[in-house]
Amino acid sequence: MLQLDYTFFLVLVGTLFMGLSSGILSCYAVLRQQSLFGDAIAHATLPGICLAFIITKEKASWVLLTGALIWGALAMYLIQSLIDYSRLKADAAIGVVLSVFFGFGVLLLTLIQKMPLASQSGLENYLFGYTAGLLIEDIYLMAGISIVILVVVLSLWKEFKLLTFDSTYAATLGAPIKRLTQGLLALLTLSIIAGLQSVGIILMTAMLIAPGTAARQWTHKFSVMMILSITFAMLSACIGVTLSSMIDHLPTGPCIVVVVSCLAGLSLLLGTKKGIFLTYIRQQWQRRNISKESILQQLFILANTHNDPRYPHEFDSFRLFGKRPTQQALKKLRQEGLVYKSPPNRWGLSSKGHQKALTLLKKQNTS
Amino acid sequence: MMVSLDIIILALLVASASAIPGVFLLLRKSAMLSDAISHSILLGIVLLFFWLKDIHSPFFIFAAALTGVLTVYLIEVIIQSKQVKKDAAIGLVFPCFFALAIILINLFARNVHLDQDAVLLGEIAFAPFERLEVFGRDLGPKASWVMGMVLLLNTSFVGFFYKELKITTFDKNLALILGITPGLIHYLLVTLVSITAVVAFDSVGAVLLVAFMITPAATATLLSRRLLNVLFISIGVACVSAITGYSVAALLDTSIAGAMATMCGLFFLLAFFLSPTQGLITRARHQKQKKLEFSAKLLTIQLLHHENQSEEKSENNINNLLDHMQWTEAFSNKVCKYCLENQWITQKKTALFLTQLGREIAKVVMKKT
Repeated sequence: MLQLDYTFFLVLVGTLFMGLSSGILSCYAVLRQQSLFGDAIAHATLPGICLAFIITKEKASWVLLTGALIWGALAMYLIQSLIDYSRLKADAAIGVVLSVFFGFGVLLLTLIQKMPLASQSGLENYLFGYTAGLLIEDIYLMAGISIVILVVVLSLWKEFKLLTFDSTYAATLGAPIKRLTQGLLALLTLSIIAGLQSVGIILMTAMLIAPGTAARQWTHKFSVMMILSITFAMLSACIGVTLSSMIDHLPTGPCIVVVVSCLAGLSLLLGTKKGIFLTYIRQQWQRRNISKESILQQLFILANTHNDPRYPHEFDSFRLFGKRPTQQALKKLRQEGLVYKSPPNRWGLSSKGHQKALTLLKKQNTS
Repeated sequence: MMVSLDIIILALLVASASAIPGVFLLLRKSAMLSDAISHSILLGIVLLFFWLKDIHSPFFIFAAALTGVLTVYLIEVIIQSKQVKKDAAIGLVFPCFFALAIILINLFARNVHLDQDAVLLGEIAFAPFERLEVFGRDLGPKASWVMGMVLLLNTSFVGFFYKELKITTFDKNLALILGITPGLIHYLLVTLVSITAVVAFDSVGAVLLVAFMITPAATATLLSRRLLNVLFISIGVACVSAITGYSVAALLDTSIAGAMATMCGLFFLLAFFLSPTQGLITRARHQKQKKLEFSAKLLTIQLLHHENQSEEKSENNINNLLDHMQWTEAFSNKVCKYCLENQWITQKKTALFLTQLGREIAKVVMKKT
């Protein structure tokens, strides 16, 4: 049963803002091949959240999220310096930071759970998100973060776009590459912070990869991709929240993640620009076209030896050129009136086919 | 006391069993596959748990490990479709599987052994309570025996296919020419990672497994460049982290797996700073030494250039270094001291003179350039 009460709308608005910010950053993360950076930063926020609680003894979300922000930034910096100053590759650096920070977080979390004053601090809710506990203050916080991200991205639109697609060119134009890169990573951290309460630490990475990947399959234009990505993220937030409020015990965060992953999977299959399905059809069509063209050319060359452009040849004569074409391809060409068959199995060019072969060969010679 | 020994033995087994395949994953630049596998096997574990209930049977382990292999296969299919880069493909598949598993746990297994925190963090401390008994004799925790088998499996795989693993890791094309299928070796490795993950899951959970697979291996690659040494060092680091981690956890009364992962990280940081060949501090010191040597040689050239010239008195003077070389006073003193110690120059008050050795050195350096 769907209940359209205050909590439902609170959760809905909160996750929509989460969708907005992660939809924006997802585009950059996917295009800049930094998808797993987000995973590491998200995991690294756990010790930050725990330390913030240990130090302040507060469980207000803005306190905990400030801790998360600091540790997320620390992880980001550490990964970058590991890549720069050691022999480790990006994936190894990410793996090390992710797992060790999270391990440290788990250590702190169990420490807190055994503290007398913990009184169910609810910190473990950050692991998978806990939408039922959202307060109006949390919504303001998420809205604030999303708006900051939106404003920064819009005002630095050109710079970020150039950095994403051609950072060398951006550098020659005098753009402060290093600062822009760091700025983008800082925004990434912010967007993760915005999603910690609803989607949670473990699954936040999906929100930073799936919407951008899905959007990429439908367009080659960056601005359109951005709009689509935001739409996908917000749509899955909507569906996820609705489903989880209709079904008992269905957790919101994982539900949103499954929906957004399904959207990405569908887009990969069906997308109009890069989708697997259409690419396959396009390839088949092209292959058929090429084989048709080569039949015409082969018949043309054969006929040339007889000084009669329409001279029909045995089917086996195609052997001269390697593989014989399929009867099906020949039949198709006959339907189009480009070749004719003289029984039992001899094939020649029609006058229309002769013209076509001539233009094809000319085109080949000029190119 | 008995219980804590059991835990330490199990921790050592988990640590060394995961460190072995971890080295190869790291060297193949597929470190994050361990993250993907350790998360997505949860889906297999949950589905099979509903069906079989016995999580220690060999069939359960292999079937759950299959989920990990399937994940890698799915990731590879997505990469090969050329629509998505490797990192995005990994990040697309495993959160979805993991989320599905969490949903299933929440919907159908709310009160069973599989609670979602245990799934993430694991609880090695409970492992010794389930014991293996044969003919009424207590042979120790069941989990340790299973983990020991996995360690044996991993070791014998690496021992048996050492050459193949090495060639496919470092030179895929050579492997193809020699008739070794890199794909087959890769999937065997992935299968081992999955089996290790499934078995270790109970003790250390999904995320911390990555710490045991990747971090010791990363530490080892900072310390050595020989594959065999890297393997042994990473097993050693993993074992030391396990023992120290257990002690820390016992001291603070916290999650053992978390403390072990933290110790792994500490040892990694130590290696990052202090490694004798690549450490940050070692390299900085090396660089400083090089700079000093270079400056000293530069000084001998300067002295040679102005030797017996009219301006010798003003040029070959310790005060001139501040002006012409733009060195600080401290640094020029250091350079002079270095030259004096090596007997390249002699000093009379502020004037500097080359020795025969210093002259030779200046000439050699100038010839080289």
